[in-house]
Amino acid sequence: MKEKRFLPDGWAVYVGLALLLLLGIGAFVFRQDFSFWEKRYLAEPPKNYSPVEWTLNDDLETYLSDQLPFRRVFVALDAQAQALTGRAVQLGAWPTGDAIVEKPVETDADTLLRRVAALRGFAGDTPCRFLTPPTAGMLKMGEMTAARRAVYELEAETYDAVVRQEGFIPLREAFESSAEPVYYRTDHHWNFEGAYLAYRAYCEAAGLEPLEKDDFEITDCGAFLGTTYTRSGLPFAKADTLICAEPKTPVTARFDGEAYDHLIFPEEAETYDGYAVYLKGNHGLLTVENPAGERGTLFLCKDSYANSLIPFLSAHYRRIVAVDARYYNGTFADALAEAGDAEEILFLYSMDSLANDTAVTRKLRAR
Amino acid sequence: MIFSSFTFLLLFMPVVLLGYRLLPEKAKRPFLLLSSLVFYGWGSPGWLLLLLYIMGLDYAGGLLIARFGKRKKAILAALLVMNLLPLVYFKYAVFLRDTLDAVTGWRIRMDSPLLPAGISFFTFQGISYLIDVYRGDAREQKNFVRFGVYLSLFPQLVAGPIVRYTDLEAQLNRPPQTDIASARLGMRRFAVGLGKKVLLADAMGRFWKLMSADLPAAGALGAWLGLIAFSFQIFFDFSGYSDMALGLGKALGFTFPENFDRPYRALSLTEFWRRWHMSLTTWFREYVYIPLGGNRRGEARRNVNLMIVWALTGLWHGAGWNFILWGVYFGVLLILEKKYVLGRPGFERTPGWLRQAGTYLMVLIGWGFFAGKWAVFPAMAGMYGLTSPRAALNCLSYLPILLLCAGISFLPKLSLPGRRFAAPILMALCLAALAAQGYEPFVYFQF
Repeated sequence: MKEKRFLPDGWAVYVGLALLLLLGIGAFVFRQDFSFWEKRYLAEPPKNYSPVEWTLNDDLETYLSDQLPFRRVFVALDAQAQALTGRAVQLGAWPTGDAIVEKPVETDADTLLRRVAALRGFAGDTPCRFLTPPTAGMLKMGEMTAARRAVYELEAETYDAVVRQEGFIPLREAFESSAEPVYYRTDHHWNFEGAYLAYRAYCEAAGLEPLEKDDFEITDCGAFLGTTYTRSGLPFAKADTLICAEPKTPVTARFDGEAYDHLIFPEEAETYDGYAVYLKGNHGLLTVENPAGERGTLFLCKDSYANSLIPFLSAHYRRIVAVDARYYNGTFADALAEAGDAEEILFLYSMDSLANDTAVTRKLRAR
Repeated sequence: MIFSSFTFLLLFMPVVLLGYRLLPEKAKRPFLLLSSLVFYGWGSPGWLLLLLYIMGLDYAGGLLIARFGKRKKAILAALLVMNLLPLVYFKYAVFLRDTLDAVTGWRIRMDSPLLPAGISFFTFQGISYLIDVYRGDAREQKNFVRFGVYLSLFPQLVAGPIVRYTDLEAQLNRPPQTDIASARLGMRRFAVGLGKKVLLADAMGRFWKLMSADLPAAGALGAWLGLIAFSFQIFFDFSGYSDMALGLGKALGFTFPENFDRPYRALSLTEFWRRWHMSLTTWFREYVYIPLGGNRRGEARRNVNLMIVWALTGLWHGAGWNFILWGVYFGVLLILEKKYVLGRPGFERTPGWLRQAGTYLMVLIGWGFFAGKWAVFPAMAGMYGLTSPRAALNCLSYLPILLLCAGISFLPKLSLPGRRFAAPILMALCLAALAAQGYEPFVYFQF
């Protein structure tokens, strides 16, 4: 008896080819300008080519790759296949327990110590402190296989060698002993709890009396899927919640030529970069003023980790001048001159920024 | 254009295969020639001139050889030189310059030309046509479109298999055939080839890249597994491409010669080379080894002939001393194997798995020369220690896929259930991998 089939074999081939062609045509028909989940602009259709300077092949390939219909589904399928075959290492961020954790920072203690020495040299006689959080991976070593743990142990050794230097504010123990998660599940930044613990550790080092959480205005800004989720490409992750704090006393934030009477921007939670609820994201130079602060001016050299910490610190300083080397056109010296009478300096960099952010060393060298 | 690109998979392939199917018979061959020229010119339109030069030269050359029978030897010699000149210039000029500079101390000023894709393949195909016509093994092709299709047929244009004219002569001279059963088999084979390339070869390539980037950190474990991964990369990359070429050829109604026959299951090096890149081995045997006298003039002359063929085989793969060394390495081993190993009672009594392992080991060392990463040898010997934690993690991460490659390469072929669904699943996974990782050029394009 003849076998019944949904489609005769041969014709299925041509149906398959037609589907492939539809995907190709779909890339032009359903073109999108921006990929929300990748947080980037997508390629535009290729145009204007001469046979001499021929890049149409590469440009069309990039375009089709960017605009492939159902691309998110395809990327997720690949990410899941990689994770299932043990190659999560490919994803740049690994599922660990209920979180997606970044790969270890590739650096060594000597490199980091050289960078720290350069920063210390910049500070000169002004009292300075360093705050570098342990990575989420270091805190989740207990949930890893032995082979993965070995790599994070190396990262932890490097981290410990650096943060035991004078001026570093210890954080690892406080983070490890926290009953609450201190990092987002889907993002590389510390969460509300982590930022608050860092704030308390800073206060202890700086001789300040830390406030309780209830002393701040707390806002629930909604759900959030962050960078490690995006980087991994994995389809499923439990979203985080953006909990934000700011002082109850009036504050003014100035950046990009504008002044604001608040530090939290809940509307940003709806955008592609939810973390921008804190201070509307990263800015080259940012000033936060709080006339009720007990201390004078803090000069803060920072990366994005500081964005959720600044609202806590602003409760204590009349003025915080924060410079982010990646977005600031001048040198650190220019920024310091702008700060005027800075009495304290805080260098707040993640281990990754400390190791790999060349903008920091460039801005220092230009002094 | 490369097969593992969206441009090919989503636009070129469906348009060409559907168009070829739907067009009237008379239009099929011109359409195929035009498609092949678009395929080749897509990467760099300027290179089309080179392909058209070889096409025109060899088309006219075949007619000339057939017409002027008495002077055909001189005509063939001139045509061979004119065929080989672009190959020598584009592929070997820089190598010759550097070698001359090193030997003489000169400083020859010459720009490095970009290597046109597939030049070694279509040059050798053109030469095979001329020699076949010269020998009387094939009739000259008077129809330019048919000849053009032979030389530029896109499935095998840039990475083989090297199709000799005699293999395709009858297929070119009959009406085009596009039956559904062939299309089905062809596309199934294409999907398998694409899977080999995108899902296996590229993964192995990434692992080898990780290991070879820092061999002291990789240590003995990383170096061994890395080189094994490289051996899988080069096999799945090239045999995957051959599968895609054969599959597309089949879908277009052509049957090309097989290029691989599970080479890592070979029980001797002689057998390995009967299973690996068979179209190249056949080409060298037919057009170099046998004309040199083959094994008809005694053992000493045979050995010289073998060494010439293997040095040329090495040189064909790339313009570098490591490739020549790789070729000579196999030449020497094959001579020794023929003299001291094959047919000996001790060898015949050795278990098959041990012979297979020994053969693979010799081939693996050869891949070390081929890769030109000399530090891999001291690393494999343990001179940098066992491994480092980061390299160990990478080894562990790639172990499942490495074992899968090993299983496919070394074990007998399995007949799995649900093969009907293999092609669409493989295509979906390949599209997913390409969407996530971008696309990677085929390793064999540089040859």
